[in-house]
Amino acid sequence: MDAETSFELITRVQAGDASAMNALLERYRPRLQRWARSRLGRARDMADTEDIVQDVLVSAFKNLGTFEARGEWALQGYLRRAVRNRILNEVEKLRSRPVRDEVPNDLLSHTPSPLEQAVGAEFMGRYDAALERLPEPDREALVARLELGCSFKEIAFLLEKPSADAARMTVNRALEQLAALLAAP
Amino acid sequence: MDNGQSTVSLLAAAVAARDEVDWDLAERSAADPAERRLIQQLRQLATLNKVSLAQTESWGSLELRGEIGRGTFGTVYRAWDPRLEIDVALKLSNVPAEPAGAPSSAIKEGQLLAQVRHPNVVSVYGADSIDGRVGVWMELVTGRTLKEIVREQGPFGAHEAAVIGRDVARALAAVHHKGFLHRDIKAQNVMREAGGRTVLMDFGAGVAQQPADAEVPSLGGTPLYLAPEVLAGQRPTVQSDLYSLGVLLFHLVSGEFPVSGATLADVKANHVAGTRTLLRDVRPNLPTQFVRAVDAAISPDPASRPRSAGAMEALLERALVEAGDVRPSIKWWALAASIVIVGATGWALRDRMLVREPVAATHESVAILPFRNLTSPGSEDDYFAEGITDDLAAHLSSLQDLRVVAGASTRSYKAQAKSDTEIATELEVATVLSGSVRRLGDRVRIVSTLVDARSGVQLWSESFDRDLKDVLTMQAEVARKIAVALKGELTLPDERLLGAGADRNAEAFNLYLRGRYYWGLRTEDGMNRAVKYFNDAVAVDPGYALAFAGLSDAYTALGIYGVISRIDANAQAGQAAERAIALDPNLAEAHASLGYVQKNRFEWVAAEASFKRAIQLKPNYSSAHHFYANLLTQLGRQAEALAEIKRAVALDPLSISANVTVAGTLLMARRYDDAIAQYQNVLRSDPGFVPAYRGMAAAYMYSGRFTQASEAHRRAAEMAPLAVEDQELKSDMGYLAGVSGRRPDALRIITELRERHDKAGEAVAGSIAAIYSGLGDVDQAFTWLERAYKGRDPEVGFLKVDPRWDALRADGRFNQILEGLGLK
Repeated sequence: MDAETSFELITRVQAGDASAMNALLERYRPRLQRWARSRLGRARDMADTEDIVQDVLVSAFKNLGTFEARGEWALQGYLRRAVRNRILNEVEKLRSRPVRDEVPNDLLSHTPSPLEQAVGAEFMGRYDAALERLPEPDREALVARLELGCSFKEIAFLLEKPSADAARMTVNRALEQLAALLAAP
Repeated sequence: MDNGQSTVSLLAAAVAARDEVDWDLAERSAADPAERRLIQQLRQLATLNKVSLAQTESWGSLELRGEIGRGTFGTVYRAWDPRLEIDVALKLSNVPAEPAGAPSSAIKEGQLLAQVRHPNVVSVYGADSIDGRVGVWMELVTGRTLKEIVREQGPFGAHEAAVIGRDVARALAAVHHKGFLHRDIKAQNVMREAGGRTVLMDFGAGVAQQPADAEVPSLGGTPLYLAPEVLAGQRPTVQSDLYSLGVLLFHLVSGEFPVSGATLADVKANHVAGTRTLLRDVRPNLPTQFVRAVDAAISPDPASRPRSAGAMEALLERALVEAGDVRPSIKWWALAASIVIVGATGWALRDRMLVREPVAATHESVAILPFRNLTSPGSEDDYFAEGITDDLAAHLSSLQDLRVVAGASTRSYKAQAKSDTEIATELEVATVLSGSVRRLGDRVRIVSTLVDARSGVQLWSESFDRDLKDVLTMQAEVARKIAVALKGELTLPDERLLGAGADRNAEAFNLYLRGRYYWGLRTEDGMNRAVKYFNDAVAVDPGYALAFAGLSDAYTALGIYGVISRIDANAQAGQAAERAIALDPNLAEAHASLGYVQKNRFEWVAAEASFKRAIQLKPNYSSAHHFYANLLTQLGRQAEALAEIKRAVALDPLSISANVTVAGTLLMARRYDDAIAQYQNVLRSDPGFVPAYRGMAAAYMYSGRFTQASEAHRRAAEMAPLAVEDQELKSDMGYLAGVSGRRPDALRIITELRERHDKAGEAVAGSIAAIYSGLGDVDQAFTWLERAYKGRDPEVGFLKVDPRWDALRADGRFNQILEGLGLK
């Protein structure tokens, strides 16, 4: 893999290199936007989601310590959690605001996310719980493949595997485990 | 199972690979309930995967941001190009159109079409096949198609149609020049942006021109627009494109088609039988030259049509001139109006300006909406009404302390149903002037109303009736009444300014207006024409100070853009400016022109005095603020520069040169992200404006974003810049190569520039010095900088502020040069 690792790029960002920031954003922004949108209801509109993702990423890349010891997958997991927390915060802020006429109520009520609409909230709950029981690299590999739209080549990069095929094997195996966890009574 | 793998393993692999699976079958074939339950989980995961992938679509590096339209070919999306940070339009095939491996003809075509660069042709950026989907991405044009406009507003007047036709003919000339045919000219395929720019779209059916014995391509285009010989099965040609353009013009002024029919067979049969609708029958009172141009284009015999798109353009140009000849008494009105209509094409900046700090909207700002023509809408009386509007605007603009927004900035509102309040908010003015013009025989009636935008209260309204021959003095009278309504009482200077020009020779004034229009374009052709018109104006009226000032500005522009030598340009510009001041010492324009000449001679103190005098004489003269901003930037007084350029843009929101100077001022103030945003605004309005790409590249470069800088350079280079722009671009590219560690590239560019110098005697010293500065070769840089300084290379005028000299600043030699320039 000849691409620079995200940690190398982060080090450059923190030394003031704007082009490294661009490379990182190009790497993570589209995937996390996709993730945020499929995981969220239409409570926040699309433009807001984009801004939030951008915002979280920029501040993370600027301020993040090193994840190097743990791997690229750990960074992805961290960023996903950061985006999720931030969006939950935003929604919370809206909810706790004094009720006014100009804030329409349906904005605050929970709209099912695209994923909840497709497979049901109950399945999503079990899915998230099952993911938590997998080792973190496997979890991030599955999320990357199923939710973030990554290629096997990108997943190989994420897991520091030698080839796309090696990544494919990991994903296949993890997917089987996940199905087993989901099917367990 | 095969290889001893379980069904579940195989299905898991299929889900991971995103393969299609017949899940019903898989569930039915489960060995036991436990396996079925596993398969059901995998099925849910496959669904989850599909839904997630559907959330943001991307295609290559482009992020899809919403659908614009759909057709049989596929879907058009608004997409985001993260490299250039601009929105583009992406036309994407729905299905993999060609077997894998075969080079798609659509891609090849898209790549060829990307070579066609013309302001009236949609800019195609590129084409590719990614993930089996063929896509062509291009400039995002926002506006309405001519089809929509005709449907919503009814037919166009002949004049407006001729202007559109001329633009489309120019676009076609560019397409034909590259060896293509469009093959699908129709009202649905021509768009008009809010600012009036006409854009030829959709090359879906475009093909390369072919030799006479080539195979006939399949029938493309829309039957009602197709030439009879193409319908009969012959090869499309340049003449068949011109036929379609003729049909388009026919349709624009009448809403009908010359040959029609319910089915393709009907249309063909009507062509064979010669059953045609004549333009004279459906629109009897159109100007003769316009009808002639359309008739020539839609002649059934290809040999009788204009020989080229250029010939068609010339016919339409004649029709435009004729519009001025119809009624001698209103000749100059019509011409002035045509200038402003043309002036409205090109850019639409209104909604996009970065400069949003509102100018205090006191009563003393007014938007002048185009006066409605009540005589016979759609006829040439439209231009009479527009002429009245423009002249009122010219009168009122001369007043002190009154900000007037008119011309291109308000013309787009003609077609929109916006309230006065909405318009006033968008243009940041306090009052809105509207009116109507009715002509009855030799009598003219003008009714005009001034409204306070915030309250909606009518401040003033009056009706004027005069003889047609007295229309000039009537204008001054109307302007005077409006001025009193706006300002209460008029000061003496105001009285004098309002009267100015009313006594001038109308023909000279018209020539002057034309000159100003072409000067504003800042193209080589435009600047040369401007010199010609200003010279014609002073030939007609040798005492015409304003025209001399215009002449001075035109020469200055020719020098800046390198069309003529800078030394000659400055000498000519200086003479003209001094002549203007001798004729009228109180003429603001003349002092501003002289100031620019002085600035170019590095006479900083004198230049500042001239600009200040100009602004004192005419506070609303946008160019004076604009020029002054340039000076202040060079002197390193960035905050003042920004204030001046913002004032210039507030006075003339749609001026492309003022808007690009906003960006340049931010760039030199080292506010790179703000500068980039503003360059992007300018490029959205005029994607062909080379200096904006150069400036954007500089902002990327100075802030260390080398990849983006390089990409912007590439865009600029593709646009066939003027010679001097090309040299500056080379210099920029060399500097970038230097600072980003590509030493051999930098040295190669230096060699190239030196060759140019040796061959054509171009002034290259400043450019070369900059590249050495980028390389960090301080001694070489100073050798060339000294030469540039001695040669009065304009590049050294920016020595104090331009970041590209940062590598030299610490050196004593640098301070010496600054001192020599009076910039210390």
